[in-house]
Amino acid sequence: MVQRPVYLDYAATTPVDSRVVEKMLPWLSDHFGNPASTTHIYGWEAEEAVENAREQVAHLIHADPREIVWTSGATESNNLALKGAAQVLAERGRHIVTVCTEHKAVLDTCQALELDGFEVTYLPVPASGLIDPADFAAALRPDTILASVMAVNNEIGVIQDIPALGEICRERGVLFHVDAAQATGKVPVDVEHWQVDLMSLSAHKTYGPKGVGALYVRRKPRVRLLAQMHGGGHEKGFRSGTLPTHQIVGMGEAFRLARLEMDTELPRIRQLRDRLWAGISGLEQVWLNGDPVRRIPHNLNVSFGHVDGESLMAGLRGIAVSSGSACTSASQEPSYVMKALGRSDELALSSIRFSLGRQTTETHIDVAIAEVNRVVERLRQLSPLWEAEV
Amino acid sequence: MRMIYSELLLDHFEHPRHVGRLPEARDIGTGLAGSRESGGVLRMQIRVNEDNTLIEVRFQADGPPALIATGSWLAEHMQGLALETAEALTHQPIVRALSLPSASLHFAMLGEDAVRAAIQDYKDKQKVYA
Repeated sequence: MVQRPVYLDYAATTPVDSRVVEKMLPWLSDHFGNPASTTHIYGWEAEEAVENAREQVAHLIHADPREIVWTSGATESNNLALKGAAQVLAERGRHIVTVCTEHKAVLDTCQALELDGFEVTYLPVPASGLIDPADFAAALRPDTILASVMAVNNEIGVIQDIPALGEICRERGVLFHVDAAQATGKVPVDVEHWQVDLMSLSAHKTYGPKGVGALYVRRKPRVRLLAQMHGGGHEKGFRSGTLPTHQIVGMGEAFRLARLEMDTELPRIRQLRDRLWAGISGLEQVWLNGDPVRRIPHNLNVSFGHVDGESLMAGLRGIAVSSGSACTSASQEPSYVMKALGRSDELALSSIRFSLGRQTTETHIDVAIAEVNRVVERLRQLSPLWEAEV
Repeated sequence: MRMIYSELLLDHFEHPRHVGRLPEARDIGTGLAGSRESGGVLRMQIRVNEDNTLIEVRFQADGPPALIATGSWLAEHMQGLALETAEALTHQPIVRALSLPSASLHFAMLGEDAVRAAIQDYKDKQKVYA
């Protein structure tokens, strides 16, 4: 088998931690019961496992377990939160505020709501990627019913000032939704301190399985939502559908581990990130994307001046990373997040997102440093324009 | 979408042939095509001897793998060709050899343009020095 590239794309997804896999397995075979079966032990034990996981997830974000609604992932959570809340609040107002660098699961949901007669303000961001709470406050109107801001950006890793935004929303009586898919296990999440009403969570970004997530729905003051999935009335009617016990157990264990290990993991990742940055920032025309300080240590998003984005990605065969270009059938399209930061098409296309995680080692980082230096230097030496410019 | 490159394209991209610059001289023609804004720049240079044979070809490219491979393939292919054979080159053999998808046709055309420009430059120099 050909040697596989070093994985530095943890923001896309993470492997399921082996300790998580171990906890999940019995719930696929031996304990296969439906947690909704109330008449026998098969159901009871599954229900207990689900409730135990609910506590684990709630614990990580300082919520009450009764405030956790299981979903299929953060995309569904975002849909349920935004559509479900907007539909309930439509009589009070039809204005929603979000940010132009949100994940597509939020932006596309907002666009769908626009078709339903809602009005959405997409706040622009400065080069740091961080919204100024004052700009956010100024965007709120008397008819604003809902605001949605992600805690940690998936492309550039910047951490928004959620507590400040939460306070503004609470004062103005605006429901506040936070997409925290990229935040769990990376920053301390606290729905009380953050004054959040709704929060989307994902398992597979935090060493849990794909296909399961959760939505935090505040009880005090109670947040009302219109269900988007109708059926057996599971999850107190918020989300029907048989609960996938094994997936839920996996998410619970993954979030438990995240809570226990975050304090030791963060400094280790930070050290690796600093090593990576030190190893590539010596190249000429290298730009860090997003705020250099208010960011999770797991993310390093870098643009390389005077390097073709497609050639850069094609050259970096020893590492698995994401690029700032969305490849369409005809051409390379720069990422909308990079464009929102004010990057030129060229620098947006030549951006690379390195995302580090639990299995990343110093050796991996050194492979990445060597690869990046080799490829960038080689492409620049090939260029008829590079010599002329330097 | 996953980018699919042919084996030969990847080989030229990873191990480009005849990269570099020739000094400006009477027997050398230089052609430049494209722009960074339009996706890439290709520079082709040819050295022509008294028998009108291309005895040296060099290229430099700034662009996607398809453009780098186009320059490299052309440089390798043109080495030793008669000037008039080189003049008749079009983008089609480049497209065929590298199995370029239609989205990359533009880069093969830049190859054709750069070769034409290099030959024209060489011919202009012969008039000046004649």
